[in-house]
Amino acid sequence: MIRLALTSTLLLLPLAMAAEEFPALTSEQLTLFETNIRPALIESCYECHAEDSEKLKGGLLLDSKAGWMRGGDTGQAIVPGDAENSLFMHMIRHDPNYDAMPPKSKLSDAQIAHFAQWINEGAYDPRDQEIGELKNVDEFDLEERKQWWSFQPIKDYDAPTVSDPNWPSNAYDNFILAALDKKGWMPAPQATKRSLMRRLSFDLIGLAPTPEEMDTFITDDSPDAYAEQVDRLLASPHFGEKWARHWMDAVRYAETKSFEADYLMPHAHQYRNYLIRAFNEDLPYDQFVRESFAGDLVDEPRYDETGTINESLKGPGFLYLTDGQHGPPDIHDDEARIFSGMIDATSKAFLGITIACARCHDHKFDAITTGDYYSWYGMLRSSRLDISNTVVKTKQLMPQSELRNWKPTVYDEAIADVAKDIAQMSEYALATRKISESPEFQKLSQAWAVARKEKAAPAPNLDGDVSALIQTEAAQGSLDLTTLESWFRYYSIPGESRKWPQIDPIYHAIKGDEMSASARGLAPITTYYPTDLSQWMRTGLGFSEAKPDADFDMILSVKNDQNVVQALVDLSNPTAGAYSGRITGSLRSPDFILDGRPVEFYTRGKNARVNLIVRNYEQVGFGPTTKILSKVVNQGSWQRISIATKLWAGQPAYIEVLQDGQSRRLTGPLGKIADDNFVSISTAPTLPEWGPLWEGRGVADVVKQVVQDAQNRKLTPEGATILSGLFESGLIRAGIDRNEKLKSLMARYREINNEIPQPVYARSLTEGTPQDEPIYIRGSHKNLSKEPNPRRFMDALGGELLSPTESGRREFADHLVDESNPLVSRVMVNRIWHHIFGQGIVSSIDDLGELGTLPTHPKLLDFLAKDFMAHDWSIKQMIRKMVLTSTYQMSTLPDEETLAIDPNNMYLQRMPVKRLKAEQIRDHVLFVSGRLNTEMYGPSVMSYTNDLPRARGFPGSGPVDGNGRRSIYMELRRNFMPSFLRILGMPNGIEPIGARNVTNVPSQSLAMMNAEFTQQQAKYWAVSLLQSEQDDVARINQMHEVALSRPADEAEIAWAGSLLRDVTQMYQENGDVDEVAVWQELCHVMMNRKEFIYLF
Amino acid sequence: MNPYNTSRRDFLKNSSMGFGMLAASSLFQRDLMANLSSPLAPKVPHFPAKAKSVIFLYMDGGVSQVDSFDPKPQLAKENGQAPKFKLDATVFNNTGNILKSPWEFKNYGESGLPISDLFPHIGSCADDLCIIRSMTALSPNHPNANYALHCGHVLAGRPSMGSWFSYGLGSMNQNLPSYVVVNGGLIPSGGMQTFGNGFLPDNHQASIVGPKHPVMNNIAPRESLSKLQRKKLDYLNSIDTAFFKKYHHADQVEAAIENYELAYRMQMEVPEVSDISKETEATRKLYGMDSPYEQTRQYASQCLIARRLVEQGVRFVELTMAKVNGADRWDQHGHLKEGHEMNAFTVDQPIAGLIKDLKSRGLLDSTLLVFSGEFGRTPFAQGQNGRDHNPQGFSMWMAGGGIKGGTVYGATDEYGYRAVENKVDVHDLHANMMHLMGIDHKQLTYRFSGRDVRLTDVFGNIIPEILA
Repeated sequence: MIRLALTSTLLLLPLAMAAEEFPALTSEQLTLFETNIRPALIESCYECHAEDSEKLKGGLLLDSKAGWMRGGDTGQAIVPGDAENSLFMHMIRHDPNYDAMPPKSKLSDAQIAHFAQWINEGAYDPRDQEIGELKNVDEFDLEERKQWWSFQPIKDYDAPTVSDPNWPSNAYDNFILAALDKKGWMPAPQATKRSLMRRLSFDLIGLAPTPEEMDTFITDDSPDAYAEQVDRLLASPHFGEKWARHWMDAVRYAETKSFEADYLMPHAHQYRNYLIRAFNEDLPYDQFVRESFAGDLVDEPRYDETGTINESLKGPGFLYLTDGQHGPPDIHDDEARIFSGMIDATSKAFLGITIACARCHDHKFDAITTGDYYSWYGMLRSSRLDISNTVVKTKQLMPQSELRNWKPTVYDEAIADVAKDIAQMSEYALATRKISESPEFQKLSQAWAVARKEKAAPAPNLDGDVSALIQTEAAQGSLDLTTLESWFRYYSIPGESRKWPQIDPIYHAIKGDEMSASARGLAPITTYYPTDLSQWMRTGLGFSEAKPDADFDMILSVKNDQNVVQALVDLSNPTAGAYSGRITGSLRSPDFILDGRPVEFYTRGKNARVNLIVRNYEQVGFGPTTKILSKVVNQGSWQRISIATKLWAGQPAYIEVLQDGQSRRLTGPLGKIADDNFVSISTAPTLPEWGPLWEGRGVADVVKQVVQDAQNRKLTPEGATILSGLFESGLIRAGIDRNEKLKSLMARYREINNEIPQPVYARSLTEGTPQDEPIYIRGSHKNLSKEPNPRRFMDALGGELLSPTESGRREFADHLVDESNPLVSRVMVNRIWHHIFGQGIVSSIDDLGELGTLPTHPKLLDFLAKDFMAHDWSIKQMIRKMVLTSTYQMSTLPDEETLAIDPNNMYLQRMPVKRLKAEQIRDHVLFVSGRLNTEMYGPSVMSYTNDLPRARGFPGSGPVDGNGRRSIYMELRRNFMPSFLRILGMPNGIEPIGARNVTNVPSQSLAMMNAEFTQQQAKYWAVSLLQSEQDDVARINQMHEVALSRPADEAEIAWAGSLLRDVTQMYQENGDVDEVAVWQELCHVMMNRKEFIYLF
Repeated sequence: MNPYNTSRRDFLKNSSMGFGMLAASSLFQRDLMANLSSPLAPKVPHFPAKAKSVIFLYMDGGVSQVDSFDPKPQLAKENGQAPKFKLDATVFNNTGNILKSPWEFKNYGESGLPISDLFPHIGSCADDLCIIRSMTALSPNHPNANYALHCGHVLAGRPSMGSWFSYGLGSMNQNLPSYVVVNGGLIPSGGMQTFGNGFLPDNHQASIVGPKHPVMNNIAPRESLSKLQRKKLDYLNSIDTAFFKKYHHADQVEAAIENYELAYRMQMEVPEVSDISKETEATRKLYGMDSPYEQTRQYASQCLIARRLVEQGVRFVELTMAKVNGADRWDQHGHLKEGHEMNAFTVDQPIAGLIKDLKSRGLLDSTLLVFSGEFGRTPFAQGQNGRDHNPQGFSMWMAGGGIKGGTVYGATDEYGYRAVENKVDVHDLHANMMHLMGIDHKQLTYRFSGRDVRLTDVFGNIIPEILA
């Protein structure tokens, strides 16, 4: 009854306010309303804006005060006392920036003036007494709606008694036979063993039985023969590949964002692999539901078979597999749209109801409130997309602590190594100046300048003459060549020295001019977001470094041999990658409202990225307006980040700091995981001022002092900044190429580092700032209800409040799988039934609501649901029992009477004839040709797209046969779906589809006849047949056994022989006879036989 | 519904038209002889149709209204000045000053419709055109606006209007697909989803044909010898028929067998219908097949193929744009003059040729031509010499099939920025297209996701003023 409560408060609230604000009513006001306002409203507005309007426009009612106070789709229409800010006035004035009202005529100037006066005087409206209740809300009685069968508790039923007690194999059969008994129908006879085996194999693993498997079954006369085959197939690793695909349909799995450029969503395929594993290991469905909603929050996550990967973390990976555009002009609208898709997919998949229909109003038919919809929305707002490192934490923690112990030793040796560089600083400076003044370099330098002007600047390099000069200078002065190169680079390459302003005096020392006054601290920044970084949220271990003894620590490189020190950082700032770039994580601010000023902070790091996430917008590609929301961090010294936000003022946002690989950048190849990466952030407006340190002192003295402080672990922030600049620029270096001791120390360091598994990223969720979402009146994000709408479980299922300090996902999932929930278990057993028996007990398997179909066997459905829960929600157990029924083992042959009365076989008098699914057809073609590659998992295989038009974002094409991999591993780009699979009915990956529409159209025949794929595979098949030493009859038999799971009969042998002869003759008439070509034609015809793709 | 048994029964159950619609009607008497169990079997419209087919001339990227069909003298007066009106956010957020049209307008025909010098040939057909100057788009972004224009919804994944027509009316020729896209090389921004069948059955998906042979995926046999394919199909048919005799209850198997024969006939008919070499020299010239510009010749051949498809009873034909040298569709964010000129040069004569040819063959009355981009362009500049996207008001036109020629409907403000009079949106457009094809847009629905979904959602108004 929440909805009704809302309505009445809505009605009362504004009226009370109005009465308070404008207490005095004069008779003039009454006269104004009755003579000028009411008649004008009736004449010009009521046609479209009254309770009894034939078609209410814009959701706005003008025949009651409550109506205009509540407003329409674009918000409150009239602001009492403020005509200038009333939408209504803009519209009746035909202000070009608003919709003109009335649309086809304009009120007279006098009428408009009257309305302005009326509103400015408080918009007195006596109609609040005339119409007591705002009736526009569709009649919605939750209690009445809850009477719908699927919302009723699941009941316990006993298996009914049946006419033939010997027929049922288990209790499920009793329900089927009892229904047939009522009709007086006999179940169909048992299917042949061959037919049954073929059916079973395709249903369980999506592949045909091999001839050997078939033989084993045919020759096994034991009573358990069939059950043994069932168990073999349930245990097959291919089981998951078949059943994961069903779930992928239900959650609209795809790997790109569609829209303009069809950007790739990195790591999407991990979700597919997650599903295959989950089905293979028979993850209990209640646990699956928990992981789907809150896999990032489960107390004891599941690991994969190697014990390295946190599988649970991947569970929520389907949620953000949404479409997405690269530059939404209205980002709130975009979020509302994307969330609507998420809610739609999730509610259909798990609950079998259409919650997305309650976006604008309470559900038209079902027990679903708008409050339910925005409660889900609130959970999504309180959660965030995270590209999570799935490597289990313990695998990272042990080596990490070893690294921490080992590091001080490396630190000391690294500092010791720079002594020689420091002793020779003035020699380096002189040599550098000398080389840069040489004619060879001057020439090169001029060429660069010209190129820059023409905007065709080549990457500066010091090859050739200059390189030789540097070598000569180094040799002459006994200088370290690598260090001298760095000096020269620092001084002579345009822009280089500017990266490290903290060591500017060195630049001027080389140049020989006065010590510069430009050495300065960092400019302060403006902040208006939550700056207490200890309150920011973390995922992974990246930002969880304990503060070590020394405030300043080295970031060591595991790649660079010439300089193992990447930077010196102050670990009192949150830092990821301080010990190893393989230990990754994210740091995110709480939500805050953008006020239009830039968002500013300081970062330092390598191979890292910071994003401003507005309204949960997943940065896709580089939209003209949105590309500024993402910044690369690739500088070891502090770098000022400033992100302009004018376009998003008023919107909620958060800042996220990430190492590479977790980046949401969706172009190019998947983020290569760099070992050398780290990132650090500071929001403190006061940053070290190194300027004074140089003041009045010799450059070498300052450097010596800083290095000495480092040795003594007494670095000041200023000193650390300078030292970091010296290492980054390479003016001093710790190189294992010249220091044996450092070399062995670093070898050990790198060895430990390599014990940490490389990050394996997957799309997941993490907690954000917990918040409720108000109801959007009539679905408009511009008209938010002022009533609270707390996050809660569904109103019709109890409406329990969720914890206000969490997103609520975890509790929501717990409510879902509570055994009292009537929907979740029913929906899942119905899905399984659908895939086994060809149609669900409720045939609309995504919709158990009023617009869905009714169950054919309601008691059986409840029995199954109870059985499912009683057996630990085991999906394999359910499938096992279903395929062991006598029902499943029936033949597909009907008797004439039932065919006439029940043509759609609702009562399962027989098993239905089933056509193979798109993926099964393609896989079966590969199976018969011998080209099926049974490799599992991994990233997707590029799909064959050469037969698709070259639209924007064309990804290039994979091989015709996808390297023989099973169809489930084909890359699914929404704008470039593989056409062979699409023609045969694979869904488009945008809408969730639980039950595929199996069509039967000529384009499918054309694909089987003429696609390059089938022709190519026919040839492979022919070649492999001809390789074996057997006669033609044996070959023809073998073909039938592989393709149709049975030997050829005599007529077929004659048929095939005749075909071979005819084709041979045609080739002869044309000249050459090619045996492979002849057999290829027979193979091709075999693939086109109807029996090839239909299960009987 | 048993999804393994997509028979005529089930099709009718899901379709809103029901059995009644299959009753024989004089309109489609001949076609009813065709395979009734096919989902593409012709269906009787809700009411007598004005048009039997649609040719949708999609102007990819968005033609500038103030440079084509909506003259605005005010722009010349304020050229170079900052806009004095309130601006909506644009996609590139880089708005410049008022930019006058580089083209002059002339009045054409008895109706005297003003059309710019971009389109002299189309101008010569002015008396057949109904120009809607108050068109609005649902989004300023290409893909969203494209989805809206094609599918009535700003998101990907919904059925395109061609699919809806195919679903609602079936095909008048069982040897051809009912919904054909003649691809000029540019797939609309938004990709293939623009032509998708969404939740409608797959047989309503667009068939994409190119302007050159082979025109369609999988349409060409790969057998190296002539007659070999037929031989194989005969063998296939004999073995499948024997199989079906054993399992005669599986009517989907029977349908699948029939499909092979149908597919075989399509192999013949599709290349035949797209072979424009048989057209007379005069006809080819009329379309601009002798143009010095290759893209014009290509678009001309697309227009010719469209006519030939319509002649053969295809319901819905869409032409996508050709790649034009140096221009990204009609999407001139810069270099408006050069880009629009090349695009107009590509389509102007072929489209005019199409109108005249249809007329001379008596087909214009039964063929609805729709010329539209996904939105228009701003009357102010983007940068120096371009125009940004403008969804608030733009021009499109329709001709033929029940449209009142020589008329203008609706108006934009004095700058051509916003539609201010008789606004029309994509839902209205779809409603009127369906109306002319004999479909009540409120009645043609498909149950999906718990709703009876229609192309026009809950919107769409019939506009009597544009109907003949």
